[in-house]
Amino acid sequence: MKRWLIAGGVVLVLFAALVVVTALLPDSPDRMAGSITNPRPDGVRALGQVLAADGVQVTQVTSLDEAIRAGSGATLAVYLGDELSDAALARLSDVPADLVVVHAGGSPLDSVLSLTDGLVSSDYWWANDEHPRAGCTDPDASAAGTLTPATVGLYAESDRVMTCFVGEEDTALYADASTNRHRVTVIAGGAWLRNDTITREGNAALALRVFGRHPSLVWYLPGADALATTNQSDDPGTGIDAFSLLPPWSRPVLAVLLVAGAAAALWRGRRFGALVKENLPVEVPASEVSSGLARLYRQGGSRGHAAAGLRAATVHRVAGRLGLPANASPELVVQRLAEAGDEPPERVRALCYGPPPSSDTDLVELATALTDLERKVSSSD
Amino acid sequence: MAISGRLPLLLVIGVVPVIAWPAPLTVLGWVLLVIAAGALDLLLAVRPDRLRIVRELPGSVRLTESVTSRLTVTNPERRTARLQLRDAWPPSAQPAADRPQVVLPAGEARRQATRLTPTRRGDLAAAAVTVRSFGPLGLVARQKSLAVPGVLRVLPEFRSRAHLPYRLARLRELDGQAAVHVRGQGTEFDSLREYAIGDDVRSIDWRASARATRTMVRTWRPERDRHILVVLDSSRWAAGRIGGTNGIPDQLRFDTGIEVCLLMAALGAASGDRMSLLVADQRVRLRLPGGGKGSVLARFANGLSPIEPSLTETDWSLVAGEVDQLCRQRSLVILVTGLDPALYADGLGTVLARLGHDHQVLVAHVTDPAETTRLTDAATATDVYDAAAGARLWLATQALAGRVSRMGVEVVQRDPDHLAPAVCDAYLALKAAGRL
Repeated sequence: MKRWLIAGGVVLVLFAALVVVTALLPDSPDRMAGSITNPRPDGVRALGQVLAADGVQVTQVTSLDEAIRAGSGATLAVYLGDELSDAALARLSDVPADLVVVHAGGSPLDSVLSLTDGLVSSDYWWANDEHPRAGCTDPDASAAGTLTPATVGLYAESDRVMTCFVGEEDTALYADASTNRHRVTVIAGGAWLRNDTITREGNAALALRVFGRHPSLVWYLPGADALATTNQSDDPGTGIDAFSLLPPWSRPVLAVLLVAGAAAALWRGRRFGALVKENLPVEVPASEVSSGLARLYRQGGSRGHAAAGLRAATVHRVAGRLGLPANASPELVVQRLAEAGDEPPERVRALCYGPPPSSDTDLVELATALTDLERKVSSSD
Repeated sequence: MAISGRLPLLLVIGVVPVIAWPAPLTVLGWVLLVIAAGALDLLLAVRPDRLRIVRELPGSVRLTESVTSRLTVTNPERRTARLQLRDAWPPSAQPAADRPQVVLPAGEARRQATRLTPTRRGDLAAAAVTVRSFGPLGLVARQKSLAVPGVLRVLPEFRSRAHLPYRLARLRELDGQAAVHVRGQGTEFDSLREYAIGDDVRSIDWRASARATRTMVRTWRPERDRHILVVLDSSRWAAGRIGGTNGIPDQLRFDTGIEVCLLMAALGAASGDRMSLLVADQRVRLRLPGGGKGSVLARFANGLSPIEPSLTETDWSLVAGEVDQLCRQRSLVILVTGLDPALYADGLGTVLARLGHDHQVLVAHVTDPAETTRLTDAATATDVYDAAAGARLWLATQALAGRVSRMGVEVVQRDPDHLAPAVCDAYLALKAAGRL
């Protein structure tokens, strides 16, 4: 029993350790939406593999430092799912490589504005058009012809911006502009280049042309170092270090207390010598025969047998007290019992020599009556 | 190795320097400092196996009484030893868990007592003595378990000794020490003395009176130097647990049998009879022929204490052979066993018939108080079936008892508390009747 408890405890601890380790490990890029190595429906691996087959060198990065290393003659694709920090935006704006911004989520409005030097802004709404047409002179967009629509739209803030797939109220899905450092292409929505949608409409054509402009593509999925942490009011638990609120010595003191706790566990846990075993004698419940017999009677419903036993035992017990011989006739027994117990002889005869009871209730009544009779006879003298 | 509570305390004190210089190096430094102090302490601690430990233990104790096991520890080293000792015993010995720290200067000896109150009959073997030897700082101890053998024999409780004085008084009445000088059955000639007024004239010995020229009377006393053999069944029947209700203590049937043996030993020895004891199931567990030296009661108690019943059936032909060897003359054979139809068919019947021919046999049967409880008014069907089964078994036992009685065998059936005195009363009655 104890061995099983220990084994169970070990398994539980191992399981807990596994859960903790899994929770602490960072998400693999292979599982993140918009990752170029993610083969799931929300990944972009199909595009990456086709581009690689066409001779484009595709690399995926998640840190800002690696992303800004992309030199001129390369394409830096920024997959924007969330707002980026100001510092990250400033560094990305200085990158010599051409930028392709995938405006995947709904919130990074300021980031789009900042990355295009204020040339392109975005809105939460585009149009109710299912099959938007390019309708512009941009070679990439016109080659695609149609595109899967997005839920966000782009505005051109300047004449220098080429917009395509224009819907109602001048919002577009595709915007192309050049800043003084590099060319910036912004495409609204992340739903058009995913593994499950890349083959629809003209998505594949647009993606291959835009991301294959240069022989090298750096696919940047912004990690924790680039994301803005301005949403503290919504979720104070993330991003803020609890130790920053405590005195500087709190971490070392915690370490000391942990070590002391471990030492205390050792102090209390060390056994003062081995346990001593006890040799126990064998024991059998003495009434095992009786209770087994009782259960057999009950299961077999042998009320007659049980009643006969009770009657015979009662007569046997009172026989000695009443001076009855062992071979006394029923008449003599009934007569003596009726005299001693002050009961009518018919009733005594029915009790001691009557028919077997027909139900358990009758049996209980008979047993109780026999006990009463015996008590009367015993107390009469 | 074991650490004391001072070590974690010392580590906690490390909070002070860490607050003063909050750096990881301070933590590491403090922990290393404590470890170094602990290592030094461990090195300076006296090795437990250098100590000399001697145990003092009484040989035996009666169940429910307490004894003290004493350990004398001598420190032959030139350093002072700081010790904590645990004298380990099985749980049924109920060792008191008081383990003070002992400071033992070089060359001196100290004694530590552990009080034991055994709750189980038999031989209790002491387990190891565990020694914790702390260093001078009291941080770390060397721990080692040393074998210091010792065996404590726990004798049966002999609860029925309360019934002994009354039986001894009865015996003295029979024995002629009281004024009962009546010639009759069950008496033997004791001595001649001068006639005193009031003596029965029928006891005047005329031949001796003629020789002595004074009127002499014969005095009589009950038979002495009879042989009594108690046979205790240690089979599966004896392993039955009875009691626990109606104020009767929870016990095995075997324990009741031991009470019978001990009370009979005390009474039989006082009446001058030779007492033998046989405990058997499939094999002979104990064989104590009469006529040995020392107190019969002590021999019986000592011999019976380590025996536990086994889950086997009794080999009755083996018992009959042993009885033949032990009883050269006509004896009283007291069989402590169950009057159970199954046991009877198993060989007890034939043995009883044979033994009853050669000896006076008495069967002592202990009843289970649980089986004789009467029905109450609030009985359920289950209770009634239980009572019916109990009644059936009781009837079978009564039928068997009647059959055995007709063979000339005495039968005593009582509950566990009253069996031993009842057997003694039957013995005294047999003695008074001269049937031994």
